[in-house]
Amino acid sequence: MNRPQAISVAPALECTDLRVRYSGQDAYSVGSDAIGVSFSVNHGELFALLGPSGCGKTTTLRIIGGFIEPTSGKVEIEGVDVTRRQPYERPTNTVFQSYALFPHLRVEGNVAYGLKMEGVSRTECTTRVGKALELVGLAGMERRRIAELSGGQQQRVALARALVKRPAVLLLDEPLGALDLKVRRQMQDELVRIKQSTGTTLIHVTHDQEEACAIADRIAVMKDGLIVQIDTPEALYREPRNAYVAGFIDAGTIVRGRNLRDGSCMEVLHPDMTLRGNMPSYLKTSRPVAALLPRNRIKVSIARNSSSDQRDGVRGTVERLVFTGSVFNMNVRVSERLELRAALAIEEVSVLREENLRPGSVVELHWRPEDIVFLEDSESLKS
Amino acid sequence: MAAPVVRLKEANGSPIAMMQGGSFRSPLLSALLDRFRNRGLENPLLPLPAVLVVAVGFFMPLAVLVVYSFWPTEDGRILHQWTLENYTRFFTRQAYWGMLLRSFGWVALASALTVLLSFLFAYFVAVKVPPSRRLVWILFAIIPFWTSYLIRVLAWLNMFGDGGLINKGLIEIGLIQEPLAFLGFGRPAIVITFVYLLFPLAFLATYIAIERINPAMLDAAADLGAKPWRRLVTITLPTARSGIVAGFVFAFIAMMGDYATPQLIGGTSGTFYANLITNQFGYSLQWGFGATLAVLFLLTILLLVIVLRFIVGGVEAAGEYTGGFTRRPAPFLFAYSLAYLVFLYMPPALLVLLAFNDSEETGLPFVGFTTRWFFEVFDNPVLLSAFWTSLQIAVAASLVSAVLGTLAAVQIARVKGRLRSFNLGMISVPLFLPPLVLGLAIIVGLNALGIQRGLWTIIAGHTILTLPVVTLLVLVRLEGLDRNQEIAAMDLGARPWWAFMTVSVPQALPGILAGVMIAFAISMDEFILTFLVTGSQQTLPLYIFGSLRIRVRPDLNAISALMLGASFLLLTVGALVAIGRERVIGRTRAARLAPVKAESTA
Repeated sequence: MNRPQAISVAPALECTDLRVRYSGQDAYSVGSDAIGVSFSVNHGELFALLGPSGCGKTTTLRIIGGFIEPTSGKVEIEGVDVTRRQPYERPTNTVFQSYALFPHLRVEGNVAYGLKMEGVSRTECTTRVGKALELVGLAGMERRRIAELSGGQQQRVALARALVKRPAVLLLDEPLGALDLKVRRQMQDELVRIKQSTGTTLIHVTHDQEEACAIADRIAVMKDGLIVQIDTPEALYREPRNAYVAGFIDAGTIVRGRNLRDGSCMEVLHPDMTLRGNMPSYLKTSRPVAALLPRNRIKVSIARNSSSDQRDGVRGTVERLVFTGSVFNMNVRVSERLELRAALAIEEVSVLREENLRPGSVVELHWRPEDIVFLEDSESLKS
Repeated sequence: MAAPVVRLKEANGSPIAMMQGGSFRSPLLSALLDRFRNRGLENPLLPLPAVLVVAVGFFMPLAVLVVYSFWPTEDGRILHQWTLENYTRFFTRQAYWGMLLRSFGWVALASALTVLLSFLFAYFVAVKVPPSRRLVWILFAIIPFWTSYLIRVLAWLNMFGDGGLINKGLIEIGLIQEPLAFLGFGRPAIVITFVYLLFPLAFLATYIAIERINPAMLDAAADLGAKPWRRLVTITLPTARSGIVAGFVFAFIAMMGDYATPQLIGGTSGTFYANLITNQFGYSLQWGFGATLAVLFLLTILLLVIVLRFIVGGVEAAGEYTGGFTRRPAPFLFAYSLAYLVFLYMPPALLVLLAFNDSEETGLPFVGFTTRWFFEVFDNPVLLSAFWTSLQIAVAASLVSAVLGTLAAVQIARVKGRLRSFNLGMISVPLFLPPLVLGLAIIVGLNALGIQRGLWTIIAGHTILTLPVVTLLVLVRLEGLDRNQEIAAMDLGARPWWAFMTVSVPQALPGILAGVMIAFAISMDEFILTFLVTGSQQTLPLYIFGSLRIRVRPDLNAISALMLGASFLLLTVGALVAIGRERVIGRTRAARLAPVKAESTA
C-alpha cells in the first residue's frame, strides 16, 4: 500500500490547556489546577462558547483576541502560535458586545479603520468597505453618522468593520445581546449566511442556548471556567453528558434516584416513579447517574379512571400550560417531590382539547425507554 | 483545497519581543522589563511634569511661607531666627484676631446668602425646566462667570456710594430723601458684591447636586403624604447637601482670599483680612508677619472644611442623572428665577449703557449717545501694551497647561490605585486653595531664592492655576469614552499610541479645546495672583485696577463693555454651535426612528 501522505491542514484555531489566574486571586478564571481549556475549531466553522455569566467564556474569547495573556496554555491560529502576540499582531478581529464603534468617524471611517492600519490603498479600501457594507446589508450607508444608526445597524457596522479585515478567526462577544428579539433572529440568519458566503471561521460567545443552537455548528458548554461538553446542537440535546448541560440547555426534567444496573440496562428509582433504558457506553459506572426525561419525547393523554400500566409512564396533575409561540410547555406535578415538564405541539393540544389540559386536570404521561437519556449526575467538574 | 494562507506578520524583531516569545524569561528580569516595556499611555512618567509644576511651583513655596511665618522682620528685612513672635503678635492684639473673626463672619454671611439664593434658582432649573431647554438656562446663569471679575466689580462700583446709581435712583423716584448708608461704600456693599460675583459658581455646585435627584423620589415622597415644603426639607436638601456645602466652601474661599473687592467697594472702613495680609507685603514690609497671617488663613479654611465635613458627612453617590422634571407649574419659583437672571445681568448691562454716555461723569443721568470713549481706548498706548502683555501670558499659560494637563490626564484616566489618587490630588490642589496664598507663596519663595520677578513668574503662576482645570476637563472626557473603542482599534491592527491618537484624542478634543479656552479666559482675567507676582509688567486687569483706584473714568466703562462683548460673543456662539449641532443630530435620529417605532408597535 503506497498511499501519499495526507497533507496535514492545521485547524483554524487550536486552544491548548488555557488557564487564567489573576494575581491576588486564588481561583482560576479559566481552567483549574487539574485541567485547562482546550478546543479546536475547523475552518469555516461557527463555534459557540455557551455558558452563564462568569463561566469564563468571554475571558476565553479575549485570550484568543489577545486582550488577556493566559497564565498558561497556547493559542494557535492556522498552526502558528500567537499566544504572546498583541491584538494588533493577530489575524483575529472582534465584534464587541458594546460594538465599540468610533462615534467621531462615519460608517465608512469605522469600516476602513482596520484597512488603513494595514496600509491598504485608498481605492482598494473604498471597494472593500463597499463590499463589506453590502455583505451586512448596509450598502450605501457609508456617509451616515454612528449616532444616526439604530442598534441593529450599529451591530452590522461592527460586523462589517471586523469582516473587512478578512480575519482568520472572527470573534463575536455576545454581539446580539442588546438587540430585540425580532432583529436578533434576523441577525442570526445573517451570521449564518455570512459564514457560508465568506467561509470565515467564527467564535461566538453567548449565554443564550437557543441562539447557540440556532446558528452554531458546534457548541462548547462552559461552567466555572471549564468546558463541560463540546458537541453539535443536536448531540447536546440528544446526549447531554451531565445534569448541568441538560439543565442549561433546558433539555427536559432530570430525575434522580437509586441506580439499578443490569448489563446495559439501567434503572433510576425515584420514590414516585422509575425510569428505565439503555446505559450509554461513554458513561463511567463509578459515578452516580441521573435520568433525563426529554421534554419533547413525552406523550400526553387524558387520564382514564382505570389504573393503566405505569411502566414508562406516570400520572399527574397539570400545574401550568403556557403557549410559547411555537409549542405549548406543560408542567405536570406527579407528587410533592416531582414535577415533570413536557413540550406539546399545537396539533397535540388541539386533539386533546385545551379545556382538558387546564390546571388541575389529571393527565397521563408516557415515553419510550429508548428516549430516556442517562447522564452523569455531577453539578461540578472541579472535584 | 489549498493550504490556508497564514496571514500572520512575523513577530517584530525587538530583543524584548523575542525574549517574550522565547523560553528565556527570568521572573526578575521580565518584571523589570515590564516596568518600561509597552507601558505607552500607562507610563507613570506622563503625569510627572504636571505634578512637578504643582510641587515646585506651589508646595515648595508654601513650605517657605510656613518657614517665614516663624521668622521675625526688622526694618523691612527678614531675620533668620526661629521664633513664635509673629504668632504671639497675632493672638495678643485684638486688632488682628478681631479682623480675622469679623471677616470670617461677613464672608460666611455672604457665602450663605449666595448659596441660599442660588439654590432656589438651581432648584427651579433642575426640577421645573424641561431638559431640552435646561442648557439655555444654565448658560445664561454661568456666562457671567467667564466675564471679567474686575469688570463685574466695576459694575457694582457704579451702583454704590452716596452718588451711586441705586441711591440716586431711589431719590429720583422719591422713595428716599437722603442716600441710604448701607448702599454707600462699606461692608454691606462688599457683601452684596460678593454675593453677585459668586452666584454662577454657587449655582453650578448646587445645580449639579439637585440634577442628580431622581424626580420619582419626590413623587414617592408626595405619594407618602409629604407636602412640598416637607419634600424640600426631607428629600431635596439632604440629597443635595454635598453640592450645597461645596458651593458654600468654594464661595467662602474665593471671597476670603479676595482683597481687590474690599479695596474698591469697601471705602475707608471696609477692609477685610485679605487686605491685612497683602498690606504686610506691601508698604509695611512685614513679610514674616504676613506669612503668619497667610498660614492662619489656610488653617482657618482647613478648619472650616473639616467642621463642615464632620457635620454634613462625606460625599456619597447622589444617584444618576435622569433628565426627568416636574410639570407642576411653580409661578413663584419662575418669577424668582427671572429676577435672579435680571439681577445677574443688570449691572453689566448698565455698565455697557454708561459706556455710551456722552458725559465726563461715569454715572447717570444719561446725557447723550457717544462712541468717543471707545476711540479713546484704542488711542491709549499704555492700555494696548497691557492688553498685549495679557495676551502673551494667557497664550503661554494656557498652552503649557494644555500640554502638561493632557499628558497627565491620559495616564490618570487609565490607571487605578494610590498613584492615581496622588497625582490627581496633587494636580487639583491649586483649584481648592485661594490664589492669594499661591501668589504670596510664590513671591516669598522667589524672595528666599533671591530670584527677580518677571513675565515668567506670572506665566508660571497662571499655569499652576489653570493646570487643574485643563487636566480635569480632559480627564472627564477621556473617562467618558468606552475603553473598548481603543481595544477595538488595536484589534483592527492599531498600535496602542496610534489607537489613542486616532480614537481617543479626536473624541477628547472638545475637552482639550474647552480646557484651553477656559485656561485662556482665566489667565486673561486673573488679578489676585498677578498683582502679587508681577515684576514691572502691566497686564490688562492690573491696568484696570490701577485706574479704578485713582478715579473711575468713562473710558473704563468702554473697555469693560468691549471685554464683556468679546467674552459674551465667544461664549454664546460656542454654546449655540454646540446646542444647534446636538439638536440637528437629535432631530434626524428621531425622524429616522419614528417609522421604525410605528412599525414595531403595529
